[in-house]
Amino acid sequence: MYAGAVAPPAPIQYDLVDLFADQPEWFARETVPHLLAWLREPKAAATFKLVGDGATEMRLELRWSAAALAARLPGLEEEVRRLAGGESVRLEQTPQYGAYALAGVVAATVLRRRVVALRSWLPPDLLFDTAPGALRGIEVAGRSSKGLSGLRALAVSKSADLIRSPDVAEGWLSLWCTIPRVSMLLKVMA
Amino acid sequence: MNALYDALQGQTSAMRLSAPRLRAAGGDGPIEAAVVLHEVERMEARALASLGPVDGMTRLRSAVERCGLLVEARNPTTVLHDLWPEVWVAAEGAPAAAVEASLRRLRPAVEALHAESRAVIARHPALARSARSSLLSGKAALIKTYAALGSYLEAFPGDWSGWQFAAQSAHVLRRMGEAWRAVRFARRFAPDDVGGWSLEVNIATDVLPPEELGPWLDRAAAELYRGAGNADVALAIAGGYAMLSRDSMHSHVQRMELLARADAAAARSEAMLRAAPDAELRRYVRGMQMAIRELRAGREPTDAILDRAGLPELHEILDRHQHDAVAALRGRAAEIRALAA
Repeated sequence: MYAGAVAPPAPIQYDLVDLFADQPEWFARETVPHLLAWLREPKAAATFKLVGDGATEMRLELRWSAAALAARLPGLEEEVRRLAGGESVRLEQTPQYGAYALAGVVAATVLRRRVVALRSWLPPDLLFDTAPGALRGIEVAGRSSKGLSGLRALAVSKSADLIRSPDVAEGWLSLWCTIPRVSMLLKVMA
Repeated sequence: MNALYDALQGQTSAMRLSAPRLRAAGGDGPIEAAVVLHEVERMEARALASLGPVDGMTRLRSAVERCGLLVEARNPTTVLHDLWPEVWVAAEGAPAAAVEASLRRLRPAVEALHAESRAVIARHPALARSARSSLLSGKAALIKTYAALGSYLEAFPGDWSGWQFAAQSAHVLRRMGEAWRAVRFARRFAPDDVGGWSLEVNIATDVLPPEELGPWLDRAAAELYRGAGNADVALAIAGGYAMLSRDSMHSHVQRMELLARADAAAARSEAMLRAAPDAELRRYVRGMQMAIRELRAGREPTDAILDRAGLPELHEILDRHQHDAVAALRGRAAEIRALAA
């Protein structure tokens, strides 16, 4: 079904503050608060099992310092509290935007790519290249339950949408679940 | 690659990501988020235009994004009247399978927004009437409609035509603070809408204290003389200066300067009407020019100018304006033009 699958060869250790350097500042600024609101992780660390196609598996060991992030994002704690308790969660925007942050981590560490634009209503969500007729990017989704089986079902429909988009030259899927913490990274198109 | 296109893509991405944060901030946050999403939608249209001729799929992709942005902004009027139909026009140039995939996310969102707006209107039947008939329906009915509009805008904070209607209603009901707030939002949502601009000038004239109104009108006039606006806006600015000139805080010299600006704006309105004739508006412009001439000559305009301008019907509303012919002229022009818009 997929043209290829990728999983990194070793555990990835990543400090979230590095996202401000690895991706555009606006991307980190607007997605990191959603990620923290979504994870609700008092230990300032979270490990995800990364699954590629077939049996390939790796780990993403994410950590952060609240103080270091607050230095980049004044008022972070209050904003996270608002996002965690507000409409954004109900509207599923916080899981979606939180998943954008995680996909940004994977794009930087595994794919060595930089996000240059966001598209909300057509795949792929995050673009590495906006050239009309030859888009390159990564389609992202975040779920708060159902684990790997839920992500696999999601991958089917999202892959189909990417394949049926004639102006996408390179398409990836990056799907995330917080309970349990698992992720899929798949290359769908060349 | 097109540098402007790339720059706009990056800029709009940052702005659209900020919308949930603004919304979560509470208070006017949902309105501010909707304002940002409308700005992103306009930038998206500019980005596409910067590319020149493009293939069907690129056009469809842009139409879907623009429509989706205003779905997220909760503006059912523009989505259902303009952008959703534009998606279908753009779809004509794209492969059928791609169209189906392209609409998989958007179609249910548009349908849900439509259903929600119908449900809100069903709960508030006053909203089903046109803005024009509501504004003409008398004070008691307008108060009811205005209350229903509040509920509607709570559900759909991005519907700028709703904000414009709310501003018109509040202005007619003399709830000036609310009229000003509503028209400021309407203008931020749709800065290119000249109907909203002339409404804003008319409300500003009634709301702003004289020391603020002068600079405010100067900025509006500067924009007008740069080529923006239309005859309505120019007349509203002329009326604003004319009303301001009569404030007792001004010296004779200042008064004459303000009246010169009023005259220039009225002349601009007259010139614009030559390009786009409008007999009714022409009579109001003529009346305003006569009133300004009287004021510049040091005379208070009498109600005789109403007949000379071809506006005899305004005699009937002189009572409401303390027999002030200029106020009646300006006030009625604002009401009539709001209805025309």
